[in-house]
Amino acid sequence: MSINFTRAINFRSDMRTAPKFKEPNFTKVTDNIWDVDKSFKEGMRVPARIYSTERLLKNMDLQVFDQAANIAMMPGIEKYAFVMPDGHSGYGSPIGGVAAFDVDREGVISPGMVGFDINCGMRLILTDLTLKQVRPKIKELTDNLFKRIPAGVGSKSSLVLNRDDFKELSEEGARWAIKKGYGWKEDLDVTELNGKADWADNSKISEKAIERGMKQIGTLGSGNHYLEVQYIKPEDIKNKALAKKWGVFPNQIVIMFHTGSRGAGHQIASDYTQSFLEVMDSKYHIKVNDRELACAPFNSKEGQNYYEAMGCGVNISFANRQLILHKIREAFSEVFKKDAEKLGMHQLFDIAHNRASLERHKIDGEIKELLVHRKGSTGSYPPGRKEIPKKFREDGSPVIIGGSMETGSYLMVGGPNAPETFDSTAHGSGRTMSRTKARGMVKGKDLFEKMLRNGIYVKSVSWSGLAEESAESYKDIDEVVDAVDSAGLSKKVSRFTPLSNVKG
Amino acid sequence: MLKDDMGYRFIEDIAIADIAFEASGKDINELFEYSAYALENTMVKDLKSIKHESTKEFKVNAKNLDILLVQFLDRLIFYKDTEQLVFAEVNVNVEKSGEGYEAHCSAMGETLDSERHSLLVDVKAVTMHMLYVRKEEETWKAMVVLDI
Repeated sequence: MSINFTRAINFRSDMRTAPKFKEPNFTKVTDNIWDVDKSFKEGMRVPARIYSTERLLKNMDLQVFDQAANIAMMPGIEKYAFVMPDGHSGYGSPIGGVAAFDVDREGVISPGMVGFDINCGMRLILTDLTLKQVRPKIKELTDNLFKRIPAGVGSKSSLVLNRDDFKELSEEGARWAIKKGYGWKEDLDVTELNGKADWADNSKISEKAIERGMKQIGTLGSGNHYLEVQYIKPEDIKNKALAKKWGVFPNQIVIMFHTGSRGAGHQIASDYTQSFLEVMDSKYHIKVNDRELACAPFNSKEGQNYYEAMGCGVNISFANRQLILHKIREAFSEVFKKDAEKLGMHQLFDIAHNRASLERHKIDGEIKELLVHRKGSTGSYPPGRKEIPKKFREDGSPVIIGGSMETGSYLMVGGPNAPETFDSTAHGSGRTMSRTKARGMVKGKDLFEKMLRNGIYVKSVSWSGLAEESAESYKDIDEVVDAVDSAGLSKKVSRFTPLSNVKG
Repeated sequence: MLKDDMGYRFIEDIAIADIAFEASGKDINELFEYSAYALENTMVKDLKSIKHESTKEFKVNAKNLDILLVQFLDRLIFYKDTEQLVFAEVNVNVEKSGEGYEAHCSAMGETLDSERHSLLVDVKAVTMHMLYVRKEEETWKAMVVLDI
């Protein structure tokens, strides 16, 4: 059928399409903690708990609380359905959602509480370079990064992999990339899980997932995926001792990027959501309020199959970020005419914010094995936890929080109160405005020029994609970070200011 | 509101981080076709810029019409991810099949070219969030949220 394309226009949701959600009665626990009682929605097994300033809470869309309540109804959930201050509504689970399930007590696993982009996360790279050295070359550097790292709609891997290569990668993660020469061995020591989910089983992922993954590995993606060159204002180092120990110094240039498991992860999530829908009620008698929360008991054949497939998604994501790191080192090396080693381009950390992790936590004095789902929430481990790579174990895990491209980002460290949320904190700014609305309000080219005037050079595949990511579309990153810092979930180490941005 | 006018429209304020659209058609086939255009138009600004150079023929099955629509759109995303194909002419024929439905599809388009195509934002997946396919009087309607 041929159509008249001019019929496609934007329109505001009307009464019929925009569902109305109930506003909860919040109980204030502290200035930054708010509870929603089980009586809010029938079937809630536990309350919902929101970590947020009062202002951010008032501005959250009401669907967030409805979605948190749906999660609070799921079998095996412990303590609370949590929402972080960057929370906003998603599908199934809110973004910024955390839920832990007791695997020995009918606890479930759900792709919808992991997210389509399995193990989507942040990687932070240090350099010995300073703002003074990099600012004059920022355009050349950013264009070089843009040229090397495929980004945007339909971007294609520059790597030619066959099926067997990709299947090996999906079980080996970042180790596969290191073995092939894409990175340094030390990178693995500063990647969560040392860059490999050892429970992954590639016989549990579909051919479609393999095919999508093969063609996209080493690409940045689109939407809110980006790569930024950032610098540190001297006054923005908040924990001087730890910053020094981790190699962070005033006026330093760092690189931060955000991407995940690309099409392979999305396919794994889609495949298992559909297959869980087939068995959830008929075999396990589990009913959920939203099909996006399709789940199965963790200790069931279907649950284990997804867990092992998700492990492949985790590995694909670690390998993807490892390959991109390699390209970043190549770009810097070419522009500054020095080896990456001599530029001090050590990775500080790589951490995910879309994953379900099997962890042991103390609940009411008892140690339990829990499957902690974090969807748009970062693991934030206090000192001593075994999840923290050895290098950081005595200080707590580094937490990387990416802000909008006009504002700034943060490095934090696992905080003393993190056990309250099963060691979880925020992951970013959190959107406040829909993409469709942002497109109508902001012109990509105007934003590009405004950012340039503010000292930020952007290289983007799409003006429209750029417009969707303006600061107006996001919450205030400083307020989000203040909320988790004052709640003690994670503590500030340093703030970073953007100098340039590559986006798809 | 779509009223009697057929086509598709992007909806604000439904999916904050993602993109939602409502599609409409005089029959189920046309509804699927407009949904495909909405998906492609999420990624490419001007569908008229897409040449008809390559054809994909495929079929998808599902027990329900809404999941059939998800499977159908998911396949178009698969071709974008694996062969960088975007489509500007789509023909669908939905039939009853056993206890469910089967959609026979043919999609014409070409490989993405960032020089000629004004690119918007990549679609990761089709969600079931607030998904519906239903007949309202004489018109078939659907709402879909795409994961971005």
